[in-house]
Amino acid sequence: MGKIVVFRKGEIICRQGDPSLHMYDICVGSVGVYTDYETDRQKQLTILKKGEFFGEMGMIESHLRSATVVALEEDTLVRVITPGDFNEFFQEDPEKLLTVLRNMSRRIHDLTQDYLDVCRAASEMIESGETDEEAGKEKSSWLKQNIRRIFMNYDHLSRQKSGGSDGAR
Amino acid sequence: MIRDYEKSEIIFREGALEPCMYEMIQGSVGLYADYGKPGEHLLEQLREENRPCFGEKGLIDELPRNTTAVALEATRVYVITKENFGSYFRNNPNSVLQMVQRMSQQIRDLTDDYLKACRTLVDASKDSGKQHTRLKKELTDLAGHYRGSLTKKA
Repeated sequence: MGKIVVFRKGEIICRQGDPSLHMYDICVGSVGVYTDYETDRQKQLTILKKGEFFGEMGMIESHLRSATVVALEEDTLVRVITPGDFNEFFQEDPEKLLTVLRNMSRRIHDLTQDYLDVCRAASEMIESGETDEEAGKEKSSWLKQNIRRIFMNYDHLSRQKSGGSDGAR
Repeated sequence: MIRDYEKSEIIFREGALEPCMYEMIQGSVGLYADYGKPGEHLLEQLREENRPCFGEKGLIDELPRNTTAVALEATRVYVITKENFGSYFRNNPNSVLQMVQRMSQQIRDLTDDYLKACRTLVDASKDSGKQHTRLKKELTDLAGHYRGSLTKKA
């Protein structure tokens, strides 16, 4: 099951902003996961090794790729898993499916927290607007600290979701 | 592993740490918050149709239970642990895939809510001082969600 593809060191396996048609299982070698690869904002999120897999969230949620993945070793072997292989792949190693579920659960937890942070910001915005006509100047320190982060998250997520390629790489 | 419960018997308790989930084979189960306490309320009632799974967070996240599950009549469940998860998945791929889909849908919904909320905030901050009525209402709704979450936690 699944085609095996060889990558040279430094070769790109999938690119941030591309459609997510499948997931990948690392058979030999290791890969680096980056956002904003080869830009001045490049950031390495993690390194994955043999036996680990990536790209499943994009495939399950049909999102655009949220990161670029690059082979870190010569002759890195990667098995390409299509949605049709999904069952068979996870039946071979159900522990991996538990990992997927665990990651999804963490996403749900984090998103809920982010959502509540925005709600809190809204609540504090209203309060600051009510206590002072010059709304904005009297924002609480929590709001000040967090609003930038919220806006940056928003910018990042909405780009990933809508697939606008402007500046995504 | 099959387990049987009498009516009113507790399947798991809020706060308990037990890394397993359940598939209901027969009967019905109530999921309660604050079971047996003054604030007790029924969050969800599960029936045997479609053999629903419940308590999956215990298996997946290995975190303490955030509800209490009570058998509402004589109930038979299948207990799924890390050890038999593989064979369960092989025999019931659809029930696990439904779980994946349900969580995926939840992620999509949450992402939408989150983006909408952010959008509101972005608009409101651009428009500071003179928020028009629609925006004000949306902000107020968000603030309500936030306050709701505080009481839930308390």
